[in-house]
Amino acid sequence: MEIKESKERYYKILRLSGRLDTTTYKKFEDYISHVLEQNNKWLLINLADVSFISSSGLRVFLSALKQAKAKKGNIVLCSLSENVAEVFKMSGFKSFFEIFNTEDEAKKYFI
Amino acid sequence: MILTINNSVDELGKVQAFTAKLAYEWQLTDKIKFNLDLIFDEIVSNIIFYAYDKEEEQKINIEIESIENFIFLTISDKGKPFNPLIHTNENIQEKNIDNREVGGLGIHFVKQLVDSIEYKREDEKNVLMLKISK
Repeated sequence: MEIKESKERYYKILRLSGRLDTTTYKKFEDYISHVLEQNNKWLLINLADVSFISSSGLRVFLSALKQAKAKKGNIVLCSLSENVAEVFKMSGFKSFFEIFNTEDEAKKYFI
Repeated sequence: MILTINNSVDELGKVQAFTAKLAYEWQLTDKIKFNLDLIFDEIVSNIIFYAYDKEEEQKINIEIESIENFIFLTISDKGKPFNPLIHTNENIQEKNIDNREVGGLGIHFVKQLVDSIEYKREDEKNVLMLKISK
């Protein structure tokens, strides 16, 4: 599980890769908590290279979204693989997140 | 095929490798491999976190076989009696993010991915039996 970060005008893009499961979610949780604490409330998370996600990884998304929304920001997702999208669908979290097919489409959300 | 692991998060890597090997040998589709991976992560991590008192090293047994179009999976542990099937979470249906709780998803996923799932307590073991379509 790796995270690459880039800074856009007023938001950050986090590009995740690898597995988001019981063995790796803590790294993601610590990372995103730190980002949100640093006065960032607008995030675009690209999941194109996430090969696997379980409920441990999903929980981090929901708690991060709650933190961002509490600060009047948002977390937007893009590029979910079919398998990862299915897990979001099963969880019911799809209705909580703005999800785009590509990063370019997601960037338009921030215009 | 049988895999026995200790009740530690560090052992989940062995389960992932086991799943990859099965997927290769049984020529499972990417989707079924993903689902099997998900079922293992949810059930085994649940046992690791909740079945035993901390610091107590115990075994978790996984038995899996492929018969025609089905995978039969049995996961057992000697932890405290725990039937995950009766711990349903009504909150899964919650549409308001402020009221949606963060936990309770694992067994909800597993139930959706299997054809059948049964629990029994036998010889002081929790035994979970699952049937999955290939």
